[in-house]
Amino acid sequence: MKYVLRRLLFYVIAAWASVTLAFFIPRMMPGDPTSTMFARFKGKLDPAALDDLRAAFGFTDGTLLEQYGVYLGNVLRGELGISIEYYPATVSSVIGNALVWTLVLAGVAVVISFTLGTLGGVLAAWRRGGWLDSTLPPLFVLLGAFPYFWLAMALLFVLGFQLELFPLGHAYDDRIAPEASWAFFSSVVGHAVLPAATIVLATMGAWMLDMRNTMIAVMGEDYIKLAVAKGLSPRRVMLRYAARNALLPNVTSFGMALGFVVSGSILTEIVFSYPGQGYLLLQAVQSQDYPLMQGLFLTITLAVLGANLLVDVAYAWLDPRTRQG
Amino acid sequence: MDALLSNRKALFGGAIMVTFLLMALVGPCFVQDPKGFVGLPLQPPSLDHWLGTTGQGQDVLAQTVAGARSSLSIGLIVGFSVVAIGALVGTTAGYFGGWVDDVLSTVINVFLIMPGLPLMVVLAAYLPPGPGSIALVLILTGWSWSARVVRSQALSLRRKDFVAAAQVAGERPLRIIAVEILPNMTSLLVSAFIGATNYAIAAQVGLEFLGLGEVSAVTWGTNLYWATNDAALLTGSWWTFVPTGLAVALVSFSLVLINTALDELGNPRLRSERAFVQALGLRAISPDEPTPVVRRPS
Amino acid sequence: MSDALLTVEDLCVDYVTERGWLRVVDKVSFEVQPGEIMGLAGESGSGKSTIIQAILRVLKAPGVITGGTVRFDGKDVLALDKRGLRGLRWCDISLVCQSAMNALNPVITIGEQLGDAIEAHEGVRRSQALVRARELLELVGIEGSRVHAYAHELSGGMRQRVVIAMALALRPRLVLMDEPTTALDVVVQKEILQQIIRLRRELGFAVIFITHDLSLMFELCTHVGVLYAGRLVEHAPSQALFERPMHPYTLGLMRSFPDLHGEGDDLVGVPGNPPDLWKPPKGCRFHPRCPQAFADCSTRAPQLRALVGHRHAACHLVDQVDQLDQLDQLDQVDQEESP
Ligand SMILES: Nc1ncnc2c1ncn2[C@@H]1O[C@H](COP(=O)(O)OP(=O)(O)O)[C@@H](O)[C@H]1O
Ligand SMILES: [Mg+2]
Repeated sequence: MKYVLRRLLFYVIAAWASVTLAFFIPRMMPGDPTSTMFARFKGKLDPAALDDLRAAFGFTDGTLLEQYGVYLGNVLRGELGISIEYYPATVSSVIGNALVWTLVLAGVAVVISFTLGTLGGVLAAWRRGGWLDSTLPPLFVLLGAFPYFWLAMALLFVLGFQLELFPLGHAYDDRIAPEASWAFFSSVVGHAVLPAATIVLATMGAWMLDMRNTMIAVMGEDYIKLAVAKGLSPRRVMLRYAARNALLPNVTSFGMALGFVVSGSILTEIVFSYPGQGYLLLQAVQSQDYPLMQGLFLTITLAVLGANLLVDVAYAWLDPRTRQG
Repeated sequence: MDALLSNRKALFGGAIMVTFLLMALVGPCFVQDPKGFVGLPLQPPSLDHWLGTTGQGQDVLAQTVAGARSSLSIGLIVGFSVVAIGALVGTTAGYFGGWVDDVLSTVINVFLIMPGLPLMVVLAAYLPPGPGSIALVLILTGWSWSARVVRSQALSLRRKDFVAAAQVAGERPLRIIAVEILPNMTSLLVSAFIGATNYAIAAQVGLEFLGLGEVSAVTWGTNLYWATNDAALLTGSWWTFVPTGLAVALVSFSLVLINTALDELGNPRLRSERAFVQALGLRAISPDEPTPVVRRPS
Repeated sequence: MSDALLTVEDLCVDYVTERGWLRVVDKVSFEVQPGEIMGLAGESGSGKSTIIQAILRVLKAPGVITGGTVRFDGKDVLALDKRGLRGLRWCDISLVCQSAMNALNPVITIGEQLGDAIEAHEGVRRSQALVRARELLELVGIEGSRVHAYAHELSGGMRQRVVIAMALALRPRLVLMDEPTTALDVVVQKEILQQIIRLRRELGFAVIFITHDLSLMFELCTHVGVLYAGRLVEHAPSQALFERPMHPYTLGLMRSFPDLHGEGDDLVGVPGNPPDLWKPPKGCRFHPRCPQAFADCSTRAPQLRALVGHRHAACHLVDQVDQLDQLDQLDQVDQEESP
């Protein structure tokens, strides 16, 4: 419990730091991008709405500190301003619509990739130098060397455009109404296969190597030797003794790497025109939609922090030494 | 160095890296103008254009070679800066400990946990496009990782006898860090540099692919940006994105190989296990294998 | 003595390294009778752990058994395959590791660790194995309810008891104990030794007990072997060895520990360091550190020779001088020492 509370404090600090960073970045930048931004709105917005937007960014009259206060209040209430690209929709609603797609795609892909990678690492380490150990890690290191989005392009090109096995983009078939039907569900799954496969292929190697290395370290411990001396079945020694212990440090590095994985999956979404955060990010960049960009930064960062908190809870639960502490 | 040359991974990785460095240095002299309109757009590879032409009618080979120069130089510069900052922050935190370490560690961990790409995008979008901005953004988002590894190494070095001896002798902290601690983590710094360079190249390509670089420059990232912009997939012109992607992957792969090789060389247990496997003609080592019996006179 | 439980004959073990094969156990022979406690003593690095791990064939890479035989109850252990070994391990021979700190898996309960060997070998159900685990804990004086505890919740002494209980789970005939008390404080150490003695009396298993502390040996063991740089230099009934060590190294080792009554005023020990096994000294490996070395010692290696009273020693002093003379001489040394 103490462990989880300590981590919670850290995440609060991290969240505050990201929010503050988002406040100061526009103010520290050379030139005056914010006035350019408000100038772009001039034609579109009535003066009252423009004032609202200024307030959302904290560009109100008053000292920097007062501005910061107004901004913090807005963020806490989830008011991130109005999107330029999707005017007059608010940034929160635009992001909210896209969030579920990213969560499902990245979430499922990451879980699959972590599970497969961890399993691969366990097996490779258990017979170090065996055929699995001498084929899988190099193969996935090579795959991991390609940029995510390039792997996405290659998969889409071969399996989508050339062989026509998979749809070319989007989250589901436009001709199907988004409702709780079997047709809709299977369309969603069909559209997610390639983007998810990309993320899995690109990230699996890292989990596998990590797990392999911690496994090898754990396998040097006395309790492994004793388990072997006890005449237990190899499977039991491998899973209950070696893998169970190696998993713990790996869960920590899983959390650490989430931000990296999310960054990669954002680029993957772009290639597949998948209507998630990544796709929005591209739109925001192309139309210089600063409010949307900022909102995306905050949302994605806070989501990653939240995921990390979950990982920490899982860790605390997996490790009896923190479970009772 | 001898050991490095006898390691297959190091040799292979080093050869790829040297090839690309040469390509970046002198390659542009041997190919056509990468920006020039040299033929019909989107032509497949031919004798005239070995790797075909882009949607703008430029030579893909020339663009790939020219892209190496900017991508590698930014990668190396960022890699170096990231490690320099990481070494500074990491040794300070690790050496001084106490509240200094608490504060710095928290900062490091906050930066570490923030997903890089959205932050990069926000920063890059506000900065004027260009290699300088990209480098700045990459350094800002990348330093924390190397600071973390340096910190933990510095923490363990601080407890070593020679550091204690220097402290007793009244050496100033700055001198102890520079003379006793940093030289003792050379191999860590080298591997952090290689890792950071790898990160920088990949992240740069990603940012430019999003259109956040200077799109008129020729880099590996902008090559891929233009390839998608010119509908490479739709038109089936695979040659506009495959060469650049392969180049990025080969460089990254070679860096990983070199780092793995350095790791192996610094790990005596790994080396002795290799000797063991070779001497006994075994396939694999497993905790589950009984101790082998090989009758052998002394 | 064909009724020995364990016979180790000319056992050789090498580590394969980049520099080549390093022999760390060289032609070691000894026997363990049913129910006896056999001690192996020697400085750290002399090859004690290597020997007992080789007996169970759990010595890890880069260790290789390069010669000799190991027989348990007539079975040739070095010829067994994986399945045969699984049958031997824990049912017949069990192991107590050097450090109880790392001998327990930190993430599963000790009950599960006590029980899983029973499950694996006797095919009983988990609930039944857990009942047996409770009994085992009580056997070593720990409350049965602690089966649900994790290793980190136990003190060092308790952990070591758990490891001993674990070794007895299947009532093996031989328990290999690698410095089971080294990391513990003296009081706990005493308690655990008492317990080992009591359990052995009740259950009748034999023990190979490893330590670098000779005084412990005399308290506990029936026979003691003394290792130096991978070779057995002396092997004798414990009482005889205590009264009259024949090898100068044994004498040195005995002097480096306070005796049983805690009167350790003049710790002399053995000056110098153990040899580098890559280039062991010619002749007797101990001669550079031996106060009584003479010319022959640096040229010819002494063989382990049988002497009167079931004793063995590998020393030219014993070989060369008439045996009785030698014994007289040692008697005098003894008398001078204990005024
Ligand atoms: N992996 C290894 N490679 C090379 N030498 C080793 C290895 N492991 C142990 N040794 C050497 O083997 C010798 C015997 O070690 P060990 O059996 O652990 O001694 P003890 O238990 O008596 O302290 C030591 O000299 C040690 O240096
Ligand atoms: Mg030992």
